[in-house]
Amino acid sequence: MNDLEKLSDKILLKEIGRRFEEKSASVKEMEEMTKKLLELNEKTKESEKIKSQFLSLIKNEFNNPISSLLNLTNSLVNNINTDRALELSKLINLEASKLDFFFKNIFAATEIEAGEIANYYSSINLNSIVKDVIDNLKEICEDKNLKINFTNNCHGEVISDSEKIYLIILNLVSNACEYSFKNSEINIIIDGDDRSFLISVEDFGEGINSKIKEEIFNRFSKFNSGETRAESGLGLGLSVVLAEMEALEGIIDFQSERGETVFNIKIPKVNKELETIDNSASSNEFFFDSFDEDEDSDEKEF
Amino acid sequence: MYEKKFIGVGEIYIATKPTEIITVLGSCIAVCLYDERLQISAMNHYLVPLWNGNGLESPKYGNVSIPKMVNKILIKGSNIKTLKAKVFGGGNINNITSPEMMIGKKNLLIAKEILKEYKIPIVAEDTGGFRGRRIMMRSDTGKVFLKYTKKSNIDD
Repeated sequence: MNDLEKLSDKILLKEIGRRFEEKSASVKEMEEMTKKLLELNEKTKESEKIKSQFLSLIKNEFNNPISSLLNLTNSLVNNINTDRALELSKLINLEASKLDFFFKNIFAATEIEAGEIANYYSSINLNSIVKDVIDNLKEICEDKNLKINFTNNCHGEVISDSEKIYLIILNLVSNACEYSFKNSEINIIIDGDDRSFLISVEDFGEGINSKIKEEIFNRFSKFNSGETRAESGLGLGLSVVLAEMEALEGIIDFQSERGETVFNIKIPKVNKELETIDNSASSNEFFFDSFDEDEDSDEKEF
Repeated sequence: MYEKKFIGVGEIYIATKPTEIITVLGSCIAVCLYDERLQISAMNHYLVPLWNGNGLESPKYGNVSIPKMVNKILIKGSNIKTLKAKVFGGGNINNITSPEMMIGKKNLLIAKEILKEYKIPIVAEDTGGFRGRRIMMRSDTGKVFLKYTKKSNIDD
């Protein structure tokens, strides 16, 4: 009872006000929930369809490169001592890197879904990562006569997870190539300040329809207007990019206007001390330095 | 000598060797599982209660993360009947009227519901409140050490 007497009217009113706010927020929340329920219901209906599509997609995506690989290796065996050998080996390499890309996305998605997304920090070389990406996409660039311009304005050491950065850039640039019009250019620009580095990938193609803006990061969603892109791909790329960006605590956004599409990513720079060799206590812990360290007053044991 | 493992949002870690598993929580929840017989532990760290079916089925969602963690520890030879759970986090870090209102409460609700379904008892918890938490679990004993953050400035 004593405690109650101590309470001033002001405090009581504040508490009542707080509870009212909480209540009105609850009502709003319920309305939101109902909407979400409807959305989810639709999604359930759709998911069976996607599942069956996915299996046939996988069949196509893997069957084609594998049968070309088999054919190519056969011709290589027959032409091993001729001038065609070099050309054939290049083709084999291209088909194999295509498969490698598909598998990388699938493995990344599997790892993300299994909760194995720890970052492995090391000093990374953005120039060579982008060069690898461009090499990987040589074929489509030659095919569509695309020119990739790369500018790196980020000097100094960058510490991040190189595998994740590679896959993020590869997916973005690969999408840019896929959706570009023939004979156009793609611009990759890297910038950086003290706290983060920014990568932007710009292409000139069919752009992203505003109707599907919300959906492009969903898994298994693929969009083609038929203008630039044959039905291909698994629809995993951007969902993997988004999840890996989250793991790196970065931000991704995009603008698409009149055929000019730019994806921007911003990734915070990591302290040198976090460079992980053994992946011991890593990552965010150091960002939160405001723990009660005074005595063991606040430490609890369970 | 303990190994150290820091886990972030959307991670699940199963420790079969003596490990100190550490994480930092705001409105997120970490469910710790401990198997006394095998002296192994598991910890997850999820951000929001339910998967919306849009992005990847990632363990940053409670209803994805907890079942995946339980499956993983069972694969290591654990028995569901001997598992014990400890639940931490779910603070009300953000303003209650923000769109992510009471996310901590909802996170906690999901943890309790799912653990109840598995019939895994919650033997300890420290949840809610307005401060962030840093927890460290020793995987071989299942003991959890907790410290609060001074300010409530953590948003995950």
